[in-house]
Amino acid sequence: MKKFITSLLWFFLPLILVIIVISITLKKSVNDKVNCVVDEKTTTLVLGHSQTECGINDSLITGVKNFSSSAEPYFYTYQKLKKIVSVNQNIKTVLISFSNNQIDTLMNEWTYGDKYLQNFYPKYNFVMNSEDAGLLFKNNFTGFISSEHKSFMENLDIVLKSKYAILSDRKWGSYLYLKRNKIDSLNKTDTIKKMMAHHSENYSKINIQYLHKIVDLCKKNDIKLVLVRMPLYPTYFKTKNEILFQRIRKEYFSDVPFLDFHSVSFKDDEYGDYDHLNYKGAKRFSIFLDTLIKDGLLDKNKPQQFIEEALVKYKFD
Amino acid sequence: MLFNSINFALFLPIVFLLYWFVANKDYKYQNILLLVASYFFYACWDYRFLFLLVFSTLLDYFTGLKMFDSKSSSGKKFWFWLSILVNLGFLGFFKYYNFFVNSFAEALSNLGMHVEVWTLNVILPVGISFYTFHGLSYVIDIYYDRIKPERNFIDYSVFVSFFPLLVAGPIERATHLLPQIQKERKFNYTTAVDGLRQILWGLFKKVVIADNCAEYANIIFNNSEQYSGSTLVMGALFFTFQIYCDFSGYSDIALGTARLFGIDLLRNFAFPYFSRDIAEFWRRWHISLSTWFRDYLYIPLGGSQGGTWMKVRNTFIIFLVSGFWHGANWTFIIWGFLNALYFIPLLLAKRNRNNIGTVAEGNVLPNFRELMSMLFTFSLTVFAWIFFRANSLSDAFSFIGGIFDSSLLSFPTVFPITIIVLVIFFIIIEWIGREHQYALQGFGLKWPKLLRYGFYYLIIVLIFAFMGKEQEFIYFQF
Repeated sequence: MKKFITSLLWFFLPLILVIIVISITLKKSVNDKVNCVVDEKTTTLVLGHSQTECGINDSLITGVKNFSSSAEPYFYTYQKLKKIVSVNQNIKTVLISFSNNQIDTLMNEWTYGDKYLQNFYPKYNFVMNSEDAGLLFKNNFTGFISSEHKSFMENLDIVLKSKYAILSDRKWGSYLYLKRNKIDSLNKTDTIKKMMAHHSENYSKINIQYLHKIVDLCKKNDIKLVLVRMPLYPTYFKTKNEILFQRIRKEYFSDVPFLDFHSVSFKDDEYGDYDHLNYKGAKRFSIFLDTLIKDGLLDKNKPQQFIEEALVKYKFD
Repeated sequence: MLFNSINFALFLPIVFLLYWFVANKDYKYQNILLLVASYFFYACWDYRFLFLLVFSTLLDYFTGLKMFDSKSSSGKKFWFWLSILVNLGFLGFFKYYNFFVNSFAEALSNLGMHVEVWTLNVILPVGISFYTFHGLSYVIDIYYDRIKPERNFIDYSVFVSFFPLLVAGPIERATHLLPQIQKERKFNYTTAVDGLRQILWGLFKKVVIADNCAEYANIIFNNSEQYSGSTLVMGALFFTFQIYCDFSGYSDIALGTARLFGIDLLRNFAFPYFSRDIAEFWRRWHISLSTWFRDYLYIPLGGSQGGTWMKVRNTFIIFLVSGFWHGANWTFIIWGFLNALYFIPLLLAKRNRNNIGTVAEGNVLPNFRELMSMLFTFSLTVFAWIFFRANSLSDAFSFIGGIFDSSLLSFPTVFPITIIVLVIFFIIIEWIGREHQYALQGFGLKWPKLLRYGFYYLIIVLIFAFMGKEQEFIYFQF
């Protein structure tokens, strides 16, 4: 038995060591060479999950780049922002989606659940420090090992094929032109009732913790961070955890500006579904947002009041 | 818990270390450990069906004892039929209920009678076909006084539930496995290393060949109307290698894992694609199931002892039942029927036992006749797999119709060169190792250690490079 164990160790140790060394080298190489420089006219970044991804068409807003990505929790957004701000001195403002589902415990699953880990970790592994990687390892050991393997293969692919243009390849997110309009079909079913049944009273500590890190990162880099709640279908909004949401916002992020567009009305055919604008809604919303930014929204002391007045002034509804 | 998952990579060493270092004082402790580990392994699939496994184990354990202890033949018969009916009842309900109900309704509808059928959303418990057949062989062997019942419940439970074979076989026999469970097992370095080598080859087959072939087989079979005849042939070939590497890969991992625990399981595959006729193919493909049907169905029916009509009837029965065992779908039944058609001419001409040994034994290459026989048998097999893989009979017929088209001579539009090179590499290694239990068993053993290790590293690197598109083993659905 002793001979067997020893032989196994002698067989596997060199292999494991070689894999570890190559893996570290690949990560370092990708991190050093990856191109995260945005065009110098870009002063504002839009980050977050699918609501900003589908709702903000950055081609219609001056100086804005949208790097939102579907189902992306703040843990990964933090990694992305850390890398982008380290090489782009021109970024002055970050708009980040802050909606009711982003405080939900569902975000834990989005951070280290098997499916999400396999999707996000390979995209951001090379910018992650050991503390962040350790957090994933601690919460989902087997998923982390599988993701490390996937990361290894993807990093190798980046190095071998020189695919360093991560931002322009849209690997880190971009505006998503959403064509669908499912409101009618959703209204016919009991979707709302089902959503209300899944209403949660708890919040995701990890997502809040990493939003804090984003706040600190922006402060450190002299970047203005603005939380944005995107337009939602009115019936859908009523199902959400609003009381908990407001409590968390006031308790933890009271010093961060909050732009709340949830109640801005859109026509049914401008929604992709209950919580996403489609391309029509995104177009109207982005033009409106562009106007607001040009009118100085981001410098206002009471931005929400400014939005309300602008809605009336431009007869948005 | 898939054999090709991180979970299994953690589970196996833990059980291995506990087995040889903690529970090694007495084989009874080792059996308890194996049983707990096996139930845990099964519960990882679906803990809800653990009760079914335990129930099936209890049923066969008690009916086995009752049969043996019965003083009257009527009492023995009662317990025997109780076990058979309950076992087949569960199997029938979980596996075939919807098929029978729908087929019945369809038949009535063809006669102009429309009935509302009550189908159920039944989930098939993983491994039910395998552990039910374990139990059945045990009960039948006791009934015919071939074996005595096992009185130790733990030992019997390990026989039914031993985790390497629990969900997809090989289908073991009490006469082969139980004696190994009932005695002390000593760790053997050579056996353990051989087990690891077999696991390595099984993983290669599954992860590198089967999962990659699956990707292309799925694309081609699911969109067959869009592809040329030559591409459809490629699809059938991809599935041919997928199903072999998937299932024999699983069996290799199962056998290799069992060897790590000092237990030998029945061999399930013996290089079937190098067969020179269909009879040889069936002696080399899913051996544990083929021999099960031979011993518990074919021979009791009279086997090949009776007249021509009886031989033909029995051959059709065994192949149709074998097809039906794979699932409640007419595609499997036609697959079985087709194999019976292939087999019967050999049987009637008394040429079904012409090719017993290994092809081109002792030679590097086959002679022309052997090569032609192998290619012909392989082509028949590939053709039959089309029915096995197709989603429905009409899909299978349209797939075949698509092959025999003028586009058959065009260059295939799906031609993944990397995968094809890997399949060729695989065939070469299998050919070289065809005289062994599995291809890698004797491969490179005479090479210098460094070169041999280099070859193993190459296999590991290939597995590592192709991991990730993790797909379930095909036979889990059966």
